[in-house]
Amino acid sequence: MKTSDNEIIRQALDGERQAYAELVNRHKGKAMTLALRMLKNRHDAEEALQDAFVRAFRALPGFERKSSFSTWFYRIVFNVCSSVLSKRGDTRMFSIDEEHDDELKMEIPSDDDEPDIAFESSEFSRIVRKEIESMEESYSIILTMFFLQEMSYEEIMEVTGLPIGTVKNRLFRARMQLRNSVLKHFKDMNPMVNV
Amino acid sequence: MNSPQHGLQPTQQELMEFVDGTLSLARYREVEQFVLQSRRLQSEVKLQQTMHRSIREDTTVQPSVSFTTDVMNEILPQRRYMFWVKLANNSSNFFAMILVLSMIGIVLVSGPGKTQNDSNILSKTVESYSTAYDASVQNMELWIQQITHPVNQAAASPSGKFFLIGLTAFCFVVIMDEIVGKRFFHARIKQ
Repeated sequence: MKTSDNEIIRQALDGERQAYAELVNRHKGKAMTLALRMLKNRHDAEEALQDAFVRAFRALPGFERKSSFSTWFYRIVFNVCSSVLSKRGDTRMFSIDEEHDDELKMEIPSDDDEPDIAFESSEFSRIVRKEIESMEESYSIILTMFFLQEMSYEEIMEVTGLPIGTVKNRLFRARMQLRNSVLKHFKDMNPMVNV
Repeated sequence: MNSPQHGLQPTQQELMEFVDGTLSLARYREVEQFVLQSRRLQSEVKLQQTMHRSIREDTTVQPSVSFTTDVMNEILPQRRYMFWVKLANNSSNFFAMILVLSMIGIVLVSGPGKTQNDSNILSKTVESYSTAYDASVQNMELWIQQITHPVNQAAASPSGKFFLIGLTAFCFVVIMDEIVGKRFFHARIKQ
C-alpha cells in the first residue's frame, strides 16, 4: 500500500530524512511542469524546483496540514518561480485582473460559428499543447493547475494568492483563448473547415 | 434561444462548468436539455471535452535523473562532508574492499608464477601481528592460493595485467561511491 504524503512527512520530521526523497520523487514531475510553464526555461525551472524542495523540507515543521502537501508545496514552487520572474522584471503573474463578470456571461457563438473539426486526431492534441506553450504564462499556468494538476478554484487561489474571482476570470479567458486559437489553427490549415 | 421549459440559454462559462461537472444539479439538467437539442452546443461541448483530455494527457516534464539525489544532498549536507563518519559506519565494506584490493595488488606486484611466494609474504605479514591466529591464517593462506591462482595466470600477460588494473580501479570507484558519496553511480544506476 502506498504510504501517504502525511506519513512520509511524519517520518521525515521524526529524523528519517531519507524518507523525504519519496516525496520528491512523487511530486517532482508535476511541479517541474508547473515551474517550466512559468519560467519557460528548463535549467531555471529545475534550479527553482530544487530550491523549492529544499525550502519545503526546512519549512516542514511549520506545515499545518490544513491543505494537502501538494497544494502547500505548489505554493512554494509558485513563490520561488515568481521571485525568479520578478528578478527578470516580469510582473504579469501578480497583476490582479479587473473582474469582468460580463465576460463570464458571454454567449456561445451563433450557429454559423459551429466548429467542425477532427477532434479525435493526434494532431489536435499536438496543437493544443503547442498553443498552451505559446500562451502568456499567467494563462498557461492556470490551465496547467486546473487540468493537469486537477486543482480546484480554491486550491489555485491558495497557491497563487489571487482572489477567487480573478482565478475564475483568468481561467475562463485562458480556456477561451485556447479554444479560439485551436479553431483558428485548424481554419488556417484547412480553409474549407467551418470554424 | 431561451426555452420556457429549460430556462435561460447557457453561457460559455456555464457550458465549461457543464463539461467540468461543477454546475448545480438543477442547472446541469437544464443545460443538458439545451445541449441535446442543439448540434452547435454539442460541437462546443465536444470541443471543450477534447481540449481537456488533450491537456490532461499531456505528459509531465521530468527533471534530470540526478534531481532527487541533488535535492537530498542539499538537505543532508553532512553526506558530503562527513567522510570519516560514513567510512566508520561502513567499516565492514571498507575492510572487504581493502582485502580484495590487497590480494590483487600482491599478485600484480609480485608478478606471475610466484603464487607460493605471494602466499608466504601474506602469511608472514599476518603471522607477525599475532601467533594466536595461526590456524586461521593457514586456512586463509590455502584459500588465497586457490583464489589467486586464476588471477595470477591472468596477470601473466600485459593485457591481463591491464584488465586487472582496470577492474581494480572500477571496484575502488564503485565501492567508494557506495560507501561515501552515492552521487555518481547511485544517481545513474539505482534510480
